[in-house]
Amino acid sequence: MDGTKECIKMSNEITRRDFLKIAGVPMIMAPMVFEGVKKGIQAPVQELGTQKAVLVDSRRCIGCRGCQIACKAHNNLPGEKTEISNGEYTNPSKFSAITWKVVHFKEIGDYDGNQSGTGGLKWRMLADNCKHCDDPDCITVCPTGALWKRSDGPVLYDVTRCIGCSYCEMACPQHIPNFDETIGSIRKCTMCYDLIDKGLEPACVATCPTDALQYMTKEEAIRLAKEAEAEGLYTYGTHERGGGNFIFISDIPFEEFGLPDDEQRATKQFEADMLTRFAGIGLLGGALYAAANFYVERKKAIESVKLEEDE
Amino acid sequence: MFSEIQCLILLSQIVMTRREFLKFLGVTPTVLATSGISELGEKTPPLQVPVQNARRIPTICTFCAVGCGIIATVAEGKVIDTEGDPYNPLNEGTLCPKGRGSMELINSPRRLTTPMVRTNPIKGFKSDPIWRRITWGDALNLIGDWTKSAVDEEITRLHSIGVMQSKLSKKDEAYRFDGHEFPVACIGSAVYNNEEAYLNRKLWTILGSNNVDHCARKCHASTVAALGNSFGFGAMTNHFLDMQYAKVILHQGGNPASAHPVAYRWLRKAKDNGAKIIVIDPRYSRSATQADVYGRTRVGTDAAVFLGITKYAIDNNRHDIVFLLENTNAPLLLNTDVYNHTLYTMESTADLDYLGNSNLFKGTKTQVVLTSSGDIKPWPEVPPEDRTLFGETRGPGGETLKTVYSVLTSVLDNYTPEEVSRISGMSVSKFIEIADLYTSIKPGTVTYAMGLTQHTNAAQLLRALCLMQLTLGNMGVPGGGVNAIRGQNNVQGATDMLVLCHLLPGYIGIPTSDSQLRAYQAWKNAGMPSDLTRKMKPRISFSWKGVDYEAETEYDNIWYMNTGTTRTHGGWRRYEKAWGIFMGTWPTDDPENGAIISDIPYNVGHPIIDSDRAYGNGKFNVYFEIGDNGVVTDGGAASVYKEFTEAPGKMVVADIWETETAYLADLVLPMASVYEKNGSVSNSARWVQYRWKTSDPPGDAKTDLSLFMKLYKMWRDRGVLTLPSELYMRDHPNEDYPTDPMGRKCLEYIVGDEIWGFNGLLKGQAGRPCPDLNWEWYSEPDTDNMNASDQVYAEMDDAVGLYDGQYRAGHVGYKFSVHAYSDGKGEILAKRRINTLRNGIDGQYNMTKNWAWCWPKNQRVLYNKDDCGEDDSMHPVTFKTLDNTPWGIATGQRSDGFPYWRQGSTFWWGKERTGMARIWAQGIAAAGADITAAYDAWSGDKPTIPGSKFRGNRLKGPEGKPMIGIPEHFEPMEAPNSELSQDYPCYGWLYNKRASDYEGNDKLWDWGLVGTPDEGYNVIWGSFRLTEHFHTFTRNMTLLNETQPELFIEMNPEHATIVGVTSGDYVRIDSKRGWVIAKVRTTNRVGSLHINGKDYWEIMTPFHFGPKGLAKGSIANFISIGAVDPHAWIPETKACMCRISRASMEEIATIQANGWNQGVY
Repeated sequence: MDGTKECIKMSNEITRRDFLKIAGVPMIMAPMVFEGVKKGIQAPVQELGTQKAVLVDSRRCIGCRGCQIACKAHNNLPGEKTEISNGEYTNPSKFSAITWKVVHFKEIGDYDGNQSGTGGLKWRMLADNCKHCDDPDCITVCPTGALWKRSDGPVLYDVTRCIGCSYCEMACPQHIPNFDETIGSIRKCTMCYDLIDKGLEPACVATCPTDALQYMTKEEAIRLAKEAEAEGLYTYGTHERGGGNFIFISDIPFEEFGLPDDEQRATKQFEADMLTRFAGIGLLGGALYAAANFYVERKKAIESVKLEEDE
Repeated sequence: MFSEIQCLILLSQIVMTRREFLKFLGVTPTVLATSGISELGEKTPPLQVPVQNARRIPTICTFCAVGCGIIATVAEGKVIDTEGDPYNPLNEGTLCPKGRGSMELINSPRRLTTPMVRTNPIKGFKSDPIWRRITWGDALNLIGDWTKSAVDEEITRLHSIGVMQSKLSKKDEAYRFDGHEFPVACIGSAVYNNEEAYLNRKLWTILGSNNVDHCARKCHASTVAALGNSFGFGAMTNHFLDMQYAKVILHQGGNPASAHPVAYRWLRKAKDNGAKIIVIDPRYSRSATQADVYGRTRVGTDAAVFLGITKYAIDNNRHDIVFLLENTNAPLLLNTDVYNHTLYTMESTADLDYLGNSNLFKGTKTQVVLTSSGDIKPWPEVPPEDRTLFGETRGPGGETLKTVYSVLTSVLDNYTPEEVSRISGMSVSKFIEIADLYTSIKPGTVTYAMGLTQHTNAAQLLRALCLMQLTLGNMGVPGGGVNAIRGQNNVQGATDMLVLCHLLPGYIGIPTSDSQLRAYQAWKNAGMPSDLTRKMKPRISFSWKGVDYEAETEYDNIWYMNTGTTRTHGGWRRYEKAWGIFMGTWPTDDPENGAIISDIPYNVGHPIIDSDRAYGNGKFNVYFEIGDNGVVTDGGAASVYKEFTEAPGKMVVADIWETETAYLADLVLPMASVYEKNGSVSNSARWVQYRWKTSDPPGDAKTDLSLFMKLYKMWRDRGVLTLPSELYMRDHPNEDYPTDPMGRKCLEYIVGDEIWGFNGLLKGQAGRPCPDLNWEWYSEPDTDNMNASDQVYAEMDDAVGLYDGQYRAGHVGYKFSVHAYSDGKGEILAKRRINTLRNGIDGQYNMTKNWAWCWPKNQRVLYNKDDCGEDDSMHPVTFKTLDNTPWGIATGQRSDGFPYWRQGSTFWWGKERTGMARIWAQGIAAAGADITAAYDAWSGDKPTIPGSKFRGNRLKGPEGKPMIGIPEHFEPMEAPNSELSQDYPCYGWLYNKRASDYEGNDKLWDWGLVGTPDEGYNVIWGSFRLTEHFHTFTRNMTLLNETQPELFIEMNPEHATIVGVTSGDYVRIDSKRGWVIAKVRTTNRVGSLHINGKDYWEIMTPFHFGPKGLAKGSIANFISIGAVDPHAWIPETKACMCRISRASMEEIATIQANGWNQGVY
């Protein structure tokens, strides 16, 4: 059976990336987290060398949005109805329960034909999603412990524990977790934990034609980011907002892409802030409370029904 | 035999996740999510649900021409995911958004599933066709009815001519169809597999029609004309993986980051290796994000830029003189006394009376070169060091002879940085910055696409690009070349199979006169014995019209000599054998006086724009649009819309969606997507890869292969398809024809030999050629798609010289034939999936010669001394230095050893002009000769822009006239600046003007449709493409629609302020031909251009949108112009003039109410 031999030979010669991809053919791609990981228990964060990270290099990005489509395709998320609202290509313009990855487009400067290089005009793209923060605000504010950070990096969530209070959405400066009414839970990027558990790359990384997204250990990512910083480039995610498992490099400041800075961090002050805010807009707060309550009640009701069924 | 595909299947497991399980059941995501709720209550919800027979099947992406591999995960016959193929060396597991979302195309509920016939006779976007669903049988009957009467008329015409003339003498009898006049036309497609493209051309040819064309006409037709006439082949010279070896990259008129994102994988690798990237483009594109230097130019002025860079290189001594002397015709002499200069030859220039300018066996003439001592000597005999590039001398008759190089430099004199800046709008400093960077580093490569090709002067401006690369010595080296990146996944293959009106498969000429047939018969009698050995006699000599001819006809050379009768004759011979047809005279032994019989129709057919016009004017009774959306993509679509809605003939559209064109059709046929069929496909870099079928097409959808076989059977049964040779035998029943052992009469025996088991004949057996045999032997594609397409694949190997070698017969007795394939021993080289590299150059330069196959002869870089032996896989690839010693790594520096064009190579132009690329292109010059004459008559007398007062009297050529053999800049049909239009009058106009005069009612172009700046059309318009959409067929894919939901226009914020709009507002764009409404995106990526002292605004729109599908928008090509390039007939969809205004509320409301129908309807 020549073919089988060839197979083995080939797998020895292909790159690690490829090998992993093929070896991981049994595709475990659940759209959201169920069991399998202990609920609500935040595992101790592992050493950087064993943590996984994605390095996003804006300089290499050509804005093809392969990652954006790969995210939707892999996680079985439907397309959104969108329209053109401004000059930039960014679309959908914000994160939602069915949009976990957005490529930001940003244009800087004006073209001057007499200037050398690109004439003073820059157009940059950044593939953005949940940063999988080391100390995530969404976890801090979650009243039911539905969110947790896994030891190797991903910030995951348990749809059965989510009561839909949307605190996490408000706590996240980019409003990345979003409540999905159809499943009664927030949803967001899972760092394709189903793939990385199999030794594969997240779907967005695997599809990137120019390697603007690269999957590596966090140690390596931080090292590369430090190198970039030394070259005078901007980096994000090594310490901004406590750091995270998505680390970004760019030659323009990250504010341009709308990434939050440290000041927008609200972890410790969150509850106080929320109170202040709700005091100002009591109506909204009330509505949210009602909504949260509704879901808690509803969940209880469902559980009781189930219990009855079981009995 | 195990192949890698089976490996993948072995590796795959039959375990599916719940998500996928639900997905293949056809549950929509929303329902899936909802169903998730009930699952949450379960105590231990199963993560995985086992699904039987899940497989992972490799296929090739249907979108751009990079040819990325896709792995489709298929469960229960449904494709549930499409990911990058990690084995495929082209994309290494990566994909762009379109490819990654392919499963949406396959599974879309909007796919067509049954044939439908129109019941509402009124056509238009506002008029519902009220489709009636019918069966395939009924659909074929309808086509049969529509074609029968029309073709019968054509046969009667041919028949009456034959019979009537037979009363006179045999010599005046002629049995052949006029392929130009034939009433059945077909616009094919580049989403065909090679087999389907080949069958399409074959079917139309034996039907008697040359009216077959496809979208290559509107994308890279000018590339084929320009590159073919410069280098030999009209194809991308290097390949994608090779781009990583470039040291400087120029993107001009192309935007690979957007249109070919995975190609950018390799360009980006080059940048990682230190390459500089230059982008010259009217808009700051996604490719410009990676650029070191970006320069903004006006659309359609690229020739000026290329010529300017060439001049800069020569002025600064950065050109490669040795390269020019050795490998180009730069040192040859031109007779400059005659206006249409000709390359000077030692012997008489009297042409034979057939095949126009390409003499039979041109080897009898020798081109001459000026030696440094001042003598004229034959080019091949003078060593390069004795040649001179400069100089002027007198011929024997006192004529002035100048070297081509001297003429080149005199043309270039005009293109100073200031002049380039005046024309293109790029600042002088920017131009010098770019020219300096590009010429200072080697090897440099140029990538381009539609931005260069879709112009009325496209062939000329692409020639300018070729000249630039030749002058710099960037050709034939890894990391160099002219990389014409093609658009559709198999547009290269469909072009090679010539689903085009002007040539036959493998770039073989179409007969145009009876004398050609007589010469061909003489050639057959002299050199081509009836036993049809694969190898012809090494030399053929025969007399024709009192002249003795002797020619080299060594087999391989037949295919690669680019001009001349040898190749044409060899090609015709292949068709005779493989298709079972006859060409020549009867009786065969009297070529002088016999009756002419040609089963291949005469005369070039109608190219695409011309074809639309002809259909509109009632010339075609039946017009097929197979996988083509002409009303959206053709230049001057506003006119096309009118033609499609008002034409008296019937239109048959075969497509996967109900496209805009399908909406205007009389009959719509549901087709399979490329993922639903087996077959080979040639990417832009000529790699012939195999595409495995992933799933069955939905409903009653059929493959194109199936369609052509059904059409053949139906036409044959109903007597629509009758060969002229059959008609001849029917008309002359009493003549003494040979009879084969099976009792069939024939005009000529074909004898099976040990290599060619033609038509199933065994060794030594004789029989008559019969077209039916092949078609009968093809497997039924509906039930056995793999076998059917592979049979055609094996046939192509012999019928199409260019693809000779793609199939390795397993049985010595049969090279070709269905039996040969059926013995199961043959090897389809396109199926090779071994991504390991061979030793030597293959390994050093990532040529991946074990992966798939590539024409010619698996040679990955054209014009390079890369091994091209008959059995390529057996020999390591070798580069050689000039003295033929094996040589190591090419660094791009000559001193290190530079790959060169092999002396006597099968590439280039035949033995007598070995290794000579064309600085002066006689082919272009000859084709342009009558244009030049028209130009002369017109210059100074007629307006440079039709309808304007500006006279063309100051062309800046060295003699005040346009050079045709050496390119020049010419303004687009609609040009912004009248002074420039006087200096560089529109080139395309002359042709289009002449064509419309000549064609009479069959008018090519309406001159009332050209707008001038005087009339207020003073905004420069260009179209571009997005990464997120592909042509017009992704607008039913929701994930892609989400990212680019509607038509927009990019305009500068300052310009927007002047117009009075801002981002998100609607504007109305008017050209002389139509108008569209589009949403504004303000951006500094487009802006104003300073042209000839005046400022002009430019605006850009993508062209993907139309009123049908999920993402809608106006048809951008309603703005564009349908005028064509004289050499390639490519429409000018990339440059025209318009005016822009804020859209009124009424207009917006009307548009939205009509589902984006434009007011012009």
